[in-house]
Amino acid sequence: MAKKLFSWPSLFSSTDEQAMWRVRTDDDAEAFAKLVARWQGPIQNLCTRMIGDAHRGEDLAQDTFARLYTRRKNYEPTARFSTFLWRMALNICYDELRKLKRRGEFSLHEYEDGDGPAFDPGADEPAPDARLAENERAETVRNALLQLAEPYRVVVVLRHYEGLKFREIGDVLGIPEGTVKSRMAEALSQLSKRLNSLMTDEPRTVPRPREKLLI
Amino acid sequence: MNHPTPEHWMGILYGEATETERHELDAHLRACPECAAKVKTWRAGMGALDEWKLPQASPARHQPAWRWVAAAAAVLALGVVIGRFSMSREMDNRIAALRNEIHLKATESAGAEAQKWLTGFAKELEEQRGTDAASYLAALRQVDAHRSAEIARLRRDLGTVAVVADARLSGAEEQLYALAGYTPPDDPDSDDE
Repeated sequence: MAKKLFSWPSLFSSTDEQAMWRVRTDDDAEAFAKLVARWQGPIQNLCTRMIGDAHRGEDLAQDTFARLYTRRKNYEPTARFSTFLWRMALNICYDELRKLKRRGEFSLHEYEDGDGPAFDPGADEPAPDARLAENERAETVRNALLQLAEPYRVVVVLRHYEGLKFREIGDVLGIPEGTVKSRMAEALSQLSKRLNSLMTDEPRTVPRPREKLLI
Repeated sequence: MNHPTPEHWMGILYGEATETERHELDAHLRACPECAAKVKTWRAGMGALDEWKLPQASPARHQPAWRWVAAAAAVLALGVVIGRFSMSREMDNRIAALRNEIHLKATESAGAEAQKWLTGFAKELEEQRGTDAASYLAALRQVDAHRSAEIARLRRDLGTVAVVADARLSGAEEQLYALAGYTPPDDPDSDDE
């Protein structure tokens, strides 16, 4: 109990659910600003990966938060805020994809003009030729991902890039955890086939921490 | 040999399997080239996915406008304090320039931010209006259908009334005709007898 009393986060921050509850009941602008600050990055990344366009991804993230505010009364405190928000963002992405497909604007070649996907501009900035090669690989992966059917793509984006657990993805999509896993396996198989040349041309042998689990 | 399902392997690949499951599947993997090949394919796919990186969303770009305004207000207040204790004309000019710059930045930032949000809200509002209009139209249609049904029912009733009235009029007419041609029978007690 004493530990809880002196826990800094509990004193000075609120959970997303508490913040959203204040937004819902009191139209609390400060609580809303906190939610935006916490979730803007993940939601923007989700939208960018689903649509394959960073600028549209940013706009769709703005749309998501605008909708979150206008529909704040729909939030039920029994539900996890993250599930509520992921669903809202995905619905906006699906609407956008439908519009793009209807207009014939859905493009797999966004970066053909050389304006490649931006990379972490960290201190270890790669040399121009290495950067070019990275951009090409990223573009290949982006195209392969966009060619996946939406039910597979959304699972890949939420699990691989956003780091949600399979169970959480099941909650967001309203499907059993086993279905999420089988879709992930199928998606990885399809991606492996499509990216075969990329993987054989440029073997990336640096394992990620979770992959060390195997043998 | 019973092979673990792809669902089991996904739990392992993404670090969600229990310790026991992990040991069992690792043992299976060593003994089963078929599963080892599958897992290798999936791992290659996972590695490839890591090639598409996105930049971190720039926090400065997404700071709410009020932060800019608060920062500008703080610097302005500082400027006022400094100005009070300084008689230097040059200092005043520099503070004025700084104020203008901060004001400009705050205005630009707030303007751009506000514009973006307003666009989002306007879009939402438009959607909401669309939804409202659709509901209103549906309600009107329902009222219209109800009225049409009422009118049809009234027509049927009027038709029935007309038929019945017509039948009764015909009956009355026949009775009148019968009455007009009526001749009373002879009275046996009359004086004629």
